[in-house]
Amino acid sequence: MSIPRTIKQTATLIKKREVSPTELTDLFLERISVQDEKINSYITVWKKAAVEAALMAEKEISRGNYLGPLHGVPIALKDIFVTKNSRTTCGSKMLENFVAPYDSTVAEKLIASGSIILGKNNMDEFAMGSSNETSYFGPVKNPWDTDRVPGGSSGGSAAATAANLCIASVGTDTGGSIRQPGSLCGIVGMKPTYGRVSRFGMIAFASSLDQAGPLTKTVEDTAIILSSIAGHDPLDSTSVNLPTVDYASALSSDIKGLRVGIPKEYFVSGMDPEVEKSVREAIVELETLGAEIVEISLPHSRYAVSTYYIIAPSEASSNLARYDGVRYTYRCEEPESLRDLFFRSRSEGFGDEVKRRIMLGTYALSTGYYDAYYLKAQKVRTLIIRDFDRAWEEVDVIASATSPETAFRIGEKAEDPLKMYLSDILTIPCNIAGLPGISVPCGFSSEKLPIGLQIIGKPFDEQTVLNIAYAYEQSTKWYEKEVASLG
Amino acid sequence: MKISKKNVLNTAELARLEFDEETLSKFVRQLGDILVHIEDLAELDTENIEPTSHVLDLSTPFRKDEVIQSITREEALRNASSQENGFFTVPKIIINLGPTDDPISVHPIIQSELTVLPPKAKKQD
Repeated sequence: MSIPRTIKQTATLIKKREVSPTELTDLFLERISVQDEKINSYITVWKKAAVEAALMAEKEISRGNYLGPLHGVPIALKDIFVTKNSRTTCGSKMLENFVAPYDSTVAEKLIASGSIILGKNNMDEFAMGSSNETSYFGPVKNPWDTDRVPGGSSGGSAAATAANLCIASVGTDTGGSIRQPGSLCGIVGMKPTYGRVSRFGMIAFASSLDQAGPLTKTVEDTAIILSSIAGHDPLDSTSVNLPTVDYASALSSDIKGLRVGIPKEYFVSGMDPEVEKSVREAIVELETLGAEIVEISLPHSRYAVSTYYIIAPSEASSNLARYDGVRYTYRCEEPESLRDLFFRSRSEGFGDEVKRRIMLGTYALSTGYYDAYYLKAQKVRTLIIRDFDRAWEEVDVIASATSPETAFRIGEKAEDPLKMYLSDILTIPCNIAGLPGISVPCGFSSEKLPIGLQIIGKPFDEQTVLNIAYAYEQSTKWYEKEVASLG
Repeated sequence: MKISKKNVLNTAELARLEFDEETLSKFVRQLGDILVHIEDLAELDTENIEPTSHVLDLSTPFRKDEVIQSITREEALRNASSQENGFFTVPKIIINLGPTDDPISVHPIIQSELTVLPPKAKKQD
């Protein structure tokens, strides 16, 4: 048996009884223990719990109680989803030993679908970063070239999936944190519409932007996971009560007549020419497949990064006020007073990037600056949303590069936060407008680094986004190219 | 607009963060760079534009007012680094009954009471 890489392949093997969930789980735990030291994609591995879950899946399946395509499939979770089985660190010293008393809805749904959770993936601290260098547990490395970053903040999820140290993973995306690492690691990553997936038990960064989604090797696998995690949750008042479909069954590669908008503003200056070339070729491919290509304009796109770096840190500064050293976080040694307890626990428990964002947000919300920064950004948010609303009158989806560049070197941008922030220039508008977006592999650079194509859709129209990505993927088959073994 | 060192220090006070000198000067520079970048928003006329705080039309969902199983006290305390008799513990908030130099270590209400009260405890000593 060759080692399966996709949910589809794994499910077929399990159904045919060619491999059992315990054999698979042992195999993946072994791969992690041998290979993960090269890429550092896990913070916690569930050695015992995964084996127990696999045994249970095996029993259920042999009793004829097959739950569906995720049953017995070894997957992983970004360490931002709280789980009562193990600690949830969010990549921070602040939560190094935190064990939640409940499961996040995403974890609960994945467990209920019968999947085997192998462990919790590394990530940028509190999901703040585009390179996975801000994790308290050390940087994650890109399996295509271990001197390079995997992207962030779901870099551990993307690297583990690309290196097949899990079949798939679930991450979160606040400004591109699923799509950008998906692009840099040569896999599929999708951010659903804001409200599609419950945020209950997902540690909050910027509550009006955060959304969970799959990182997988194929579009079909993304559809399978999305079907499992989507849906209304009474425990999240921002989760939307709309019917969800079985995205995988509804998948279609017939995209004839669909209108694909190409925003001229998305071919930004400073874009890597190899990335531009691959994306332009991908657009030609979509046209060959029957889509109609329409040039459009999203004139306020260039203000998206500025808008984001006011709104996201403002929400973060408020969300992260809860880490006070009192109830469930890191606490400094021998505090002299309550003031000392707050100041030292926070200053010792948070890393520099998190502090920078808390500072930025606190400043933007403080007396005298609120109107100039936060209110202004919220108004520009309206303008960015209106751009998209106008575009939807002409097109069904929008296509662009996911990231203006391929994976950069570890350390290259670590000391220049502004430069780092600009790497999310093409993914941020989607979060600001709450839209669904996917990154699907569309080629490799001359240095053999993956390039991603981004497809953005109308609110709650994940299906069309998936179909376009699926049609493109099935005709180009970039996913067949695998990472060389890490040894 | 660049940010001054004084502004950074004031913001750190509000955010309950403290920095060594080296980090402080790094933050003054980095936050300044970011604030200069986001000044581009000022070019846009947003006079008559409604702000968007949320992409969804949200309304407050209500549920029946029923007692449901929640986490237990033990579970709630399990992650606390310091606890006693079923409570989270923190350093003593009232250090002595006289006026204090440390305004944040005393709740403002307690503090205002302290400043109007004569230092009784000391007299009795």
